[in-house]
Amino acid sequence: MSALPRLRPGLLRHNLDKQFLVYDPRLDRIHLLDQTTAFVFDLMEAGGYSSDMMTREVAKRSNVAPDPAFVSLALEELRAAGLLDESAALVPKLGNATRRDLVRKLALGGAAALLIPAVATLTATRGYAQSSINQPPDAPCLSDANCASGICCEGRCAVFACNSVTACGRCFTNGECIVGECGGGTEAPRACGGTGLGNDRDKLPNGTACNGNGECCSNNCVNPPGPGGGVCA
Amino acid sequence: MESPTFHGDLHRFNGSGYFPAMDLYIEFDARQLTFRSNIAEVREYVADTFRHMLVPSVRNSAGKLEFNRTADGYSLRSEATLDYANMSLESLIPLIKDEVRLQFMRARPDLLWMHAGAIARSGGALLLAGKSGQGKSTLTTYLCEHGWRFLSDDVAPVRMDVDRVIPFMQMPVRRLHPGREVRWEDLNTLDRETVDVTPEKLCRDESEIRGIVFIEYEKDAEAQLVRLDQGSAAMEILRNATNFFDHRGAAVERAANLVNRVPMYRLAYGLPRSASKVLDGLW
Repeated sequence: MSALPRLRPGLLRHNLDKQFLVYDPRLDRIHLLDQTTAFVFDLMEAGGYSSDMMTREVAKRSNVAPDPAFVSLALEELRAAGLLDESAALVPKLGNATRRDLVRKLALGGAAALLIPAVATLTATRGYAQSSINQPPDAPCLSDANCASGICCEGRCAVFACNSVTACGRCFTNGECIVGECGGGTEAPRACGGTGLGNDRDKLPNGTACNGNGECCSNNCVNPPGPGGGVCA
Repeated sequence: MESPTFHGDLHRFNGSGYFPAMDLYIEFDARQLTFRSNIAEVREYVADTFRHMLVPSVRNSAGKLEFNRTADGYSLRSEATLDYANMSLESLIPLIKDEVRLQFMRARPDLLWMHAGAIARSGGALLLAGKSGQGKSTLTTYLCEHGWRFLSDDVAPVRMDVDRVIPFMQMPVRRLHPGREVRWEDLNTLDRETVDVTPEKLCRDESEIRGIVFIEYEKDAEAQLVRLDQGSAAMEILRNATNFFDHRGAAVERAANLVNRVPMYRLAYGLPRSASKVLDGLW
């Protein structure tokens, strides 16, 4: 194995039983490192370990026979969680086939499942999260916390980010539309439009099935009727 | 939604004191929020929902909240003013209750506000946390009918320096089970009922947290309580922390401290009475 990568600076870790709880303040993510990955993290923090030394130390702490696969998999988990320092160079991703082979190898060698390196990640929600109201799309809201989607735009629950949907794009509430308003009707899919730009918000949004131009907000049904029908675009 | 029932005259509402008919003062941990509305039905709803938190006056303000009928519809004024046209009062009323909670959260960012109910017995508090629709309110109210005392429903404010939870005694509202499986996205379609918690069932003092249970409803499941490892428990605490961004790294440290001192469990259950038997055995 080539030289070991380094951990990203600024991570905050807490020891729990045999696991580590690691907080990444840059991305506001919380990671739970299993025992094996915690060992590798600990040794990387201490520094001064070569790949072989780390393999032996991890085996000693885990009370198993040394196998470089433990370290390789743990490093891959740390890389995927964004916990490695890639400022100088990207850390190569472990291919899916290689990962599967390594896991199989460890399992066949008698390694308990709980020794296979794993990281669980939780991304913190911005603002005040979790409310029992969970309003559906286009229902009234005062803050993101009121909405099942976690997005409140101009007093109504949205599905897409505020001011993010282009003309004739699918929308659920006015605040999602960059220009214009979200079409009328409650049954059919709704479209952003209606500002005299040649689009009709009360017709079908882009991406929905159509049989003719007149059905579409954009007045453009691509691949007109035939086998498979058309799509508004 | 049914009109809220209103018990007695507003001026004698909480059994003591007199306060102006237009303003209500809702108290949490010695801070008072002033609520005002020109709509009698809304004042009655708020007075009923927060009946155990009402006080006669403001001594230490937590801000103001106003909800009024206007020429064009309705307006809500707290930190910002939001106007609502072409909306029914019925659809807006749940937001008012939520905004009261949010106002106190903004006034008290020093606390960790967990998405949980809280009950107490023998000097210790038990938090019941979990996603919407898992039965926090149902279990909380059931347990209060069977020997536990009520601290809060839906939100549990936890101190950051000690393992104690502060009462937030808004009246609990539980969903009525339709007798069939319900998808998570359809939870809001279920009817709800407000549960009347009588004064002798209240716990008005902040309480030491003796346990936290993360609940999961599974239809027809026999209640099973499993002790969580510290790592999983810490992740669940953070997942249920509604104001993580007021604390960030300190919230993670708090979770790590809490799991070192307080036992935490996962409870899968199908019926409140079987869950109650299991939880009764905790202490």
